[in-house]
Amino acid sequence: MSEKLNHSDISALLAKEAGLSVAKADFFTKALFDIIIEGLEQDGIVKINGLGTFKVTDVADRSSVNVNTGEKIEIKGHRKLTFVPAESLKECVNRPFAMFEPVEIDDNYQDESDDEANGSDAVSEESSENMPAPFNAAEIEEEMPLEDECNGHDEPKAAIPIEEEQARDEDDNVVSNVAGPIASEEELRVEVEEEEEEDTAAVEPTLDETTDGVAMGDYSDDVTEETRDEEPVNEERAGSDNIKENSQTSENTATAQPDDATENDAAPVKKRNNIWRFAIYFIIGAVCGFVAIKMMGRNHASDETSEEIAVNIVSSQEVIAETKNEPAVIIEDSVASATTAEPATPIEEIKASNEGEDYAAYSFILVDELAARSDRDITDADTTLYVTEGDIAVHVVAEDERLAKIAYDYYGSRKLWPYIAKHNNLKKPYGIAVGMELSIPRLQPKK
Amino acid sequence: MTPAETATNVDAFVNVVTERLKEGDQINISGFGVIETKMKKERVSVNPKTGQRFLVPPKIQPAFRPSNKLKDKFK
Repeated sequence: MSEKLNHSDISALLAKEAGLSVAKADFFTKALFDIIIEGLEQDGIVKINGLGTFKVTDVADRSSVNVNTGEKIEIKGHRKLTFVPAESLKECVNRPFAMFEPVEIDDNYQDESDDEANGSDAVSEESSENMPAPFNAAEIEEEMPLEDECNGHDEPKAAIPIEEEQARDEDDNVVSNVAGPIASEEELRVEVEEEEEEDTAAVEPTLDETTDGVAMGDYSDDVTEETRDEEPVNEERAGSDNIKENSQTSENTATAQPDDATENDAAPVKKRNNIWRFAIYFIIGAVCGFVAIKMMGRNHASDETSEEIAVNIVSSQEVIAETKNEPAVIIEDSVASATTAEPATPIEEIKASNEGEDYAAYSFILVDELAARSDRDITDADTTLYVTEGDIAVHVVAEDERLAKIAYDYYGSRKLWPYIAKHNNLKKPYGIAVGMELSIPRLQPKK
Repeated sequence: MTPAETATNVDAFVNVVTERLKEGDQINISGFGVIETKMKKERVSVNPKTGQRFLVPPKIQPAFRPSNKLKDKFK
């Protein structure tokens, strides 16, 4: 292995191989290399069938830079001796690695666009004809010259340029053979370029189709996989849209949420990533549903309250009609107070429920609740009964004030407001107006 | 030596050279150059038009280095 053989070694081996005497073989090899050199000097190219081509090539002038000084140097053109091994020799030498072939590398996500282009090529009928062109282009550029030269060898096979005369005869053939492949190569390249231009033209519409999300059964595996990838994206967009709709209007959530569910059910679960995505979508859908339900519930509640407020207005009008003591302006004010009282009612309800009162389960509306309480017993609010003894002060009702708040301000308890109402001869629904004067009684616990 | 003989001898010479190169030997011929084999490692090549990447396998290639004498002759 990796011995260095010199001239005499080759001669000995040749003598063994060809059945010549060593002296004759030695003479032959010397003559052979001399002839090769002579042929190179005269014609610039010598081919030996089965070994390869020795060729003198011109190297053009080129400018370079001196690495140390940074000066520009002009390297003058010269001639160089090159050797192109014959295909058979290449194959023989490369036998240990003969089983390997160039493998297309599957790149990660970023290069899928390229795969997409090729995949769509394979799909569309027009481009499938042109499809082999880009693949062959690389192979053609690498292999064609060698193949052509091998073919060129076959023709002058009988007459190998050993002697000068033969070499001269052959050189014409050789040159023509060399010129032939180059021309054909150029043609091939031109053809390949044209075909590839057509390819790109054909690829673009197919790409558009795929981006439109057309998932037909005719597509190849690559394309279907990509459409699978695209589906979740669309779904994601749809999901985000749904979320936005949810945030804007609660009514749309009811309609949008089933869409989510159907999409989740319909989408194929084929990848683990998809499973995760679906899990996320499911969670998002659940959250959206929860929010939607809450929103719906509030709307419903507000509807109820508005209805009840309307009822209250009617009842208050009736009361006013009966009493006729209060001006008509109070009607609006009572409505206003009722509406302003509305937002804080849940808090009151919670507090009341904490106290364990039986009216805690009643409706949201303070007015109704209070009315119900006052019907039963005014002292139902507290376990201890109080007796009113004179006035502490005269309170002028300000904006956003209710009896419960006034009671809290004076007594420290919201529940003691019925005493104020009773003391001022207020009747159901205990409407108070801004600027109204209320006398606040002093409360003494009744023994 | 007749042309037919020389043809067979050249074939024999080529056979000897290929056999030797297959074994990984170097053939030094003074005044001419060195015929040897070179191991090329695997590499990644990219088709510049399509952007496709290929893994080109490792291979052993025959190579020829002309001697300085021969180089100077053609310079």
